[in-house]
Amino acid sequence: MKLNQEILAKKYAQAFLKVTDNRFSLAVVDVLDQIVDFFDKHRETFFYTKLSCIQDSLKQAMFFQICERFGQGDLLQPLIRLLAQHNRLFIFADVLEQVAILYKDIQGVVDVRIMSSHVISEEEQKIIEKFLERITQKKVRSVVVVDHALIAGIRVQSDTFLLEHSVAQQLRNIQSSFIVSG
Amino acid sequence: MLNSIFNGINFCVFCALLVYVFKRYIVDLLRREIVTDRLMRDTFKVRLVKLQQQEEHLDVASVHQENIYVDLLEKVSRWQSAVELEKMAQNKQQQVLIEAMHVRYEKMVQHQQYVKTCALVIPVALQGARKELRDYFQEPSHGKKYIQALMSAIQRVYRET
Repeated sequence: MKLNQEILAKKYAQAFLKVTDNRFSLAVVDVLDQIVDFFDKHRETFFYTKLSCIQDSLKQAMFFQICERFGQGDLLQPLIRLLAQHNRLFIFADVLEQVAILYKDIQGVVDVRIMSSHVISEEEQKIIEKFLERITQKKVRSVVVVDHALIAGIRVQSDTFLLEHSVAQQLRNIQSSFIVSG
Repeated sequence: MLNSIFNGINFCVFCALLVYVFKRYIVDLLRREIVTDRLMRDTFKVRLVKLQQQEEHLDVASVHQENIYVDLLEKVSRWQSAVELEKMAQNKQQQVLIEAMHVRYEKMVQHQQYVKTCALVIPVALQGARKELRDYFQEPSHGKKYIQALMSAIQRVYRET
């Protein structure tokens, strides 16, 4: 069910990108990610899309207003209308997520989250980014987050890969090695 | 003289009577007896030949039976040795199995002890290590040093690639 939904969302995303490609930029994609985060936090929104007692125009208006708040109402209105026509507004967030993924893939951009046990300087962040660019052969956009659970070290995470070198990981490895050898 | 003539005549008559009696009654009897004897002798001869043949057959059969007996004896001894070997092999296998069982049991006991020890010691040790490491790396200079070492390692890998 979830997989079908993802495939469907990917198809809508591909179609939407073809139609509106020239209006996209990485800044817009960042906004799309924010909208996806918003819908992730407010999953109940999709509950209302399945209620037949609420008019389609009202549902469309609700989604439009949300997108408008993020400043992308005009761009996303055709998509909202299309999904409403197909009674598939409940996959709106999935479509936006797929749009962001596809666009980043086309542009050769990968977003990573650098988690560090201690605050790292911009220079160090650049070193990590360069290293990741060399590995992925894509442009890396990173966000640094301090995570004391790592004890010491860094953890780099994206949608497709995870790199970690930290004391916490070494402790985990020691623990799992005992479990495996036991 | 006359007396001697008559005596001679009497003797002749007596002899003739004897011959007559012999020919009339005894010759046939003797002939029948002889024929009977011959028949019996022939019968005995045939029986003797048959018995000799039977004896030969019996000798052959006896030799054959003796051979079978020897064969059987050999087979029995071979079977007994095979049974002995089989028994020995079974015993050996059983011993090997018992030894393997012992080894396995000992390993199991050791493993159980290891698991118990791990379950008791490892979490405590790791928790202690985690606490100590956390305390150690809470000092910003230590954490910074670790991150810097990591950065130089990343740069080295970057340069190598």
